[in-house]
Amino acid sequence: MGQVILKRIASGDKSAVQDCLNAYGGLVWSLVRRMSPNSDEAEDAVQEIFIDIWKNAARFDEAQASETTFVAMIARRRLIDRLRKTNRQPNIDSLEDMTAEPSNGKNQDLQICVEAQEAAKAMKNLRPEQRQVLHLSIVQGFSHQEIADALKMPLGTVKTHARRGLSQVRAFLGLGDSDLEKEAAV
Amino acid sequence: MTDLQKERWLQLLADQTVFGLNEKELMEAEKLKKQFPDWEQDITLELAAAAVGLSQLEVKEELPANLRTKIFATADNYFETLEASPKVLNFPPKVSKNIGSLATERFNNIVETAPKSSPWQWLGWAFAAAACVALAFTLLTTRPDRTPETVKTPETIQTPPPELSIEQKREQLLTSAIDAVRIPLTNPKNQKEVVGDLVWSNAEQKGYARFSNLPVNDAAKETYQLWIVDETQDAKTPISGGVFNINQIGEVIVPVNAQLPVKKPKAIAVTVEKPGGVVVSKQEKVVALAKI
Repeated sequence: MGQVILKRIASGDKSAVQDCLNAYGGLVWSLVRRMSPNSDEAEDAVQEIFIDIWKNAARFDEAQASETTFVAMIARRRLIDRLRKTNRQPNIDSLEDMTAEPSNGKNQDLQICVEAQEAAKAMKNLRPEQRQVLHLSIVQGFSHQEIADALKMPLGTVKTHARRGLSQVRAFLGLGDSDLEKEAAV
Repeated sequence: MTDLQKERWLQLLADQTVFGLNEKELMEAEKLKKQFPDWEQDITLELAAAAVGLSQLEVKEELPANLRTKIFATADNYFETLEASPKVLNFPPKVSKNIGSLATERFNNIVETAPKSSPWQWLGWAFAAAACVALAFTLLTTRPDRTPETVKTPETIQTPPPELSIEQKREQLLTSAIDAVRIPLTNPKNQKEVVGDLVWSNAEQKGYARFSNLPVNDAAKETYQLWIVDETQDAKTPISGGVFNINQIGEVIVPVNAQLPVKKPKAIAVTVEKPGGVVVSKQEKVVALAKI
């Protein structure tokens, strides 16, 4: 049933909103709480994200990804946009936390969707520095400059690790690797 | 397009996905994207990043009830706007400042920058239009019967499925949902005049409450609100099931619209609250109760 919610929303079915909130409310809230400093900010972000989800519902392609991943992608876009506009830093307890090697993720059986399980596997196969940069940026929400400062890496190296690591995750997920990317890699 | 440009474009795509771009980078991306039209709608990197984010995510809590209510209100406005202007439904979504979604802007640019017609072309069109008008006039005035003829084209008549009444919906839920239960509603203060029952299906996450002789309320001052007491929730914060008003004495059936997923329903209660309902009830005035 979960896979048809966005299609129903795209067709203007208002009753799908409740299903959408039931299915993805907790997910979006958890993603937002991870990146938002306070409840007011978080509430604003969640409302914006759900509007974005409704607006983009027609673009969802079930052959490409699960609804869960698509929803998380829309949420990330909005959160990145908000972080960039406000130039805020996400909360973190200490530098030690920041530079710690990321965990291997939760028990895979408990993970949210198949892409999340696959992404966890893909992350394990990355070089440690690629994994760390992706964890700090995508999971923790740090900017490239903050990561460069914390890891004492040149900015360009941070960006390169992020790009190569993410390209590998994408390939592992079977999301394709374009000709352009292949050409550039040669 | 040089290799350097290609490399830079790929890096900007990745940067956008992982970190977001600053204004300068956005402008740079705007220039480069024209050379890579096939990439404008590629969201695969973003999906990969989302999957990485999900791989480390633990959904520990539900969306707060008050926020959920706000989003429902936003949804009302959003879908009303869509209904008012149905064209919006097919409009390519515009996600600001995202490389992957710049196709819309590009499309708009194409429309706006289409080569303009010369005055001579317009003159030609004007002659053509005038000729069409003249032809139409001639046809109309030379026809024996000037009554417009109805053009009958084969059409498929689609009869919408009949909308069930709320009584029928209640009956349908009771007979079709495998876990549907029917429980008598009682008044906690033993006011005998209020009677009724509740039909609830946890699988369907919906139900109907039927009342007889619930007092008429002044909607300007107060409203009735349904609550679902869930074993997995704090007893002080039951799940709202919606608000309703009673206009006349008699039997009424109201749908129970749970605002949060109901896991282990224990009881359904009706309280009197301020107009519009409340997020958390003080439960000062409970007028009906059904223990599941």
